[in-house]
Amino acid sequence: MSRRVTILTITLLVLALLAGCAQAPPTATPRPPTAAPKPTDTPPPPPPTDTPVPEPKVFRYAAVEPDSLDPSKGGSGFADFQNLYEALVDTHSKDGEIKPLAAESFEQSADGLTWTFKLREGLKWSDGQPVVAEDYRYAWLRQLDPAEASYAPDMFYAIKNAKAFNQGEITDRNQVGIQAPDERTLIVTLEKPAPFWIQHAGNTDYFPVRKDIIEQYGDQWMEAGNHVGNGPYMLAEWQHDQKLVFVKNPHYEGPWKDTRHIDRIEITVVQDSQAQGLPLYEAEEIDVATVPSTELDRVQADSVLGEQWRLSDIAGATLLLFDTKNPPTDDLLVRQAMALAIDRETLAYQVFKGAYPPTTSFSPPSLSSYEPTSFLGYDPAKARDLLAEAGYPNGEGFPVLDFTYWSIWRGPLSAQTLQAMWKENLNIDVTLNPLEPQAMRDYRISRETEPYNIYYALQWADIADPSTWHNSQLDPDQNVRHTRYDNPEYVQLIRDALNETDFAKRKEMYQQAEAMVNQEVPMLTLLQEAIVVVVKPYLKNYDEVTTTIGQLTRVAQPPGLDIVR
Amino acid sequence: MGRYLVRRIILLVPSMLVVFTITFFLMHATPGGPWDRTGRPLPAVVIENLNAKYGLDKPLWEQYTTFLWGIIRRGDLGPSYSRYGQDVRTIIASFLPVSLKLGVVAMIIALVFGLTLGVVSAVKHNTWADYLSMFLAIIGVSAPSYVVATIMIIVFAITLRWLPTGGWEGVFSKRIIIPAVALALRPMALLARYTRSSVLDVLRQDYVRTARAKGLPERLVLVRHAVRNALIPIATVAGITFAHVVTGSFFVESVTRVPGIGRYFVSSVSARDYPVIMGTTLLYAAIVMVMNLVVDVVYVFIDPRVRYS
Repeated sequence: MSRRVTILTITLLVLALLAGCAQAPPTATPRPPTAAPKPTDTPPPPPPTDTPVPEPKVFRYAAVEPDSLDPSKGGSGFADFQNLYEALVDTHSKDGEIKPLAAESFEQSADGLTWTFKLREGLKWSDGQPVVAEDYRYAWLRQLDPAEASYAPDMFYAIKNAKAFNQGEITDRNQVGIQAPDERTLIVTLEKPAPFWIQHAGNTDYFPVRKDIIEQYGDQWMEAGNHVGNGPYMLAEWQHDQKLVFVKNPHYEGPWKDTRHIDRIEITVVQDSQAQGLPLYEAEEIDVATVPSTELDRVQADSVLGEQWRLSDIAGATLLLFDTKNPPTDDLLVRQAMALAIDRETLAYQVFKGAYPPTTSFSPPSLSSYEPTSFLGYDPAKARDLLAEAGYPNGEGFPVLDFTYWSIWRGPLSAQTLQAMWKENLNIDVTLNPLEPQAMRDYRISRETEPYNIYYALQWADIADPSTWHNSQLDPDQNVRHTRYDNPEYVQLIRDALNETDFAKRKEMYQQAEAMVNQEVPMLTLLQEAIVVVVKPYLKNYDEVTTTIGQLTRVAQPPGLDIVR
Repeated sequence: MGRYLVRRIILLVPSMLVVFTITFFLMHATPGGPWDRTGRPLPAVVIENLNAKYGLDKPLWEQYTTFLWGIIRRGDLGPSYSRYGQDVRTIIASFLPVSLKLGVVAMIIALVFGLTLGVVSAVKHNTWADYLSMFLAIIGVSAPSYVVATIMIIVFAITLRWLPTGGWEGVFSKRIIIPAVALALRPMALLARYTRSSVLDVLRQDYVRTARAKGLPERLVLVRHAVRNALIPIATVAGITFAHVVTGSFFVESVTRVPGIGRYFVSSVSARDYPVIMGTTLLYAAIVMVMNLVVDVVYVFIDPRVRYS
């Protein structure tokens, strides 16, 4: 009897648990109506043969869950949110030219202070409302509003009164040099002639947003159903931590309208796109994936993947920073010796299997300041001589330096390799001090007042202009990188170059400045940023639609990504 | 019994306050802050603006009282610092149910196979069945769940193409197989080992010998006397294991792309997302405390000697 009761109770309990699972409210993870439980997320099956409707073209890839699709949060590292918006100009085209996008024309006044943009006629948001100049003005002022706490207000500081407004010195937003006198005209007044400024106008920070949508939905405005953009694609679905779906924006009338060969973009959310993309790719669930350097050997040797991988450079590099006021790295000879003792070839090809090419100058090659002839390459004999000249023959008497770096990504391997190279070539010791990313941030900020010797960093070029590399990192007035490098000749040179309107002269000035950095080593670059991807052969024009800054995929950028099977 | 329960439930409040306080000061004492997680280093003015927006520029004790008062008054932990537009309540409400469902399925697998393996190896003590069961149990304890999940993905999804590599479509979908098995393996192995030693222990008791002596069939001896009495230590382990399994697993959920709460326990800490750290910690503490209470209550039913008054 009691046994039967026990069995009955257990059975009931199990059933109740299962029922509880089955009947849980669907709110948490709404099932897409189309998602049939198929092994791969293939597009819906083709309709019967008598109706020759083409199969929708679906582009699938994996990415980490975006923190935001809001341009004022920079998309929080989710680069591909830019398929949802359209900037005034295209500054990321492969030929390096600045092309009109949402603006049909843009011109600079003779004194270089004023930019006038004329919007195309008939541009619409994804809900059918017209795109007006005020939308851009609202978005840019929102970026500068200190109460918004946006991520990149400094990208607007070249605009008149923008910095003062962002730092609360003026509160009247009408004093900021952004005016929208009519629906199709946007006039930007700069503080000083800044020839590089137009590069910013093509960046994600300069995307327009809709005031009424943001006011209506508050911080929920980026959710699917609420979000409104002006890009070639629009947000159709966002199941948090699972997937995002972009579809063609039916109201889009911009210049990339006819290069939208892809009907639907499906983004599978993963925790680590480097490690998790490749298995998805190999299981035919996505069309393109990044390859971690640890998998590169296998991918290159694989009979199928070996044909599908490619490496593309990104305008960025890993860096070493030196405190140029704290002994012993205050001594130029010491910095030069340490620079000359680094064998980048070994680091790039032995340690990282060729996934990141060695750098050949301070700037990435795509910036006009690139100047490889003055670069201190690998020369251990000369490095030892310089160290001896600095008073440390064979490393004797050289203090043990603290070397701080990121405990993630390429940090640990790079640091250990450098430690070994310095030991072998110079007979000096460094103590490794790994910090996790958030602690590294505190470390970086506190270097403003704290002395140090070396730390490791990663930098991407925000725009295709040398100012992003020189002025943003080495001008003593910037508050990001603290090398305390203050060579007055260098500082004057980069400040003059920043506002120089003659491009040939500007390039020459930056190259001159670059030679000084290469020789005086307040910072040095180690490896070029790059990305190795595998791409399915049916994906056409993939290389044409990715840009070198952060490897952004702009699906509709001419000639437009396509799938041809 | 009723008064005992009320007392235990009231005692949960100071326990939670202790957890809250320790968590609050620990997370604020950890170096680093919640901003600056993108590739670009943020200028100081941006970080100041962000701190001001979320009240992180105020003195710590003020943040402590504001935070605590918000929880008491509105049951609200505030917005996430890393997921814009989502507050902690939304995050828990949308992702905890997924972990709960996966955890319950995994727990059923663990209980069914764990108890079976444990009883079999106790009864067939020192035979090949015992060795095989315990071999499986040792693999289960020693193979980390993410390794198991990864191997299963390689074998069943990439090589054999029987199962998808991951994702989530509810309990009755084959997508649940890999994460549920990977998650179940360790609790199953633990339960198997506990069951084995517990049943072995009971089988040596006098009352079992008595039951056998009076001619009771071995099957009934096992079910009525041995397994039932062996359940007491197992219930203790199962309660805590359950609390652990239903709050999700960072590794299993990450590797198999299950949108559960488990990953937030880890990602919130590395992102210094203070409200989410607090939310997940309090959630875990509450589930552990409640499961302990449930286990204590269950003792009454499986052990006639236990009485609360």
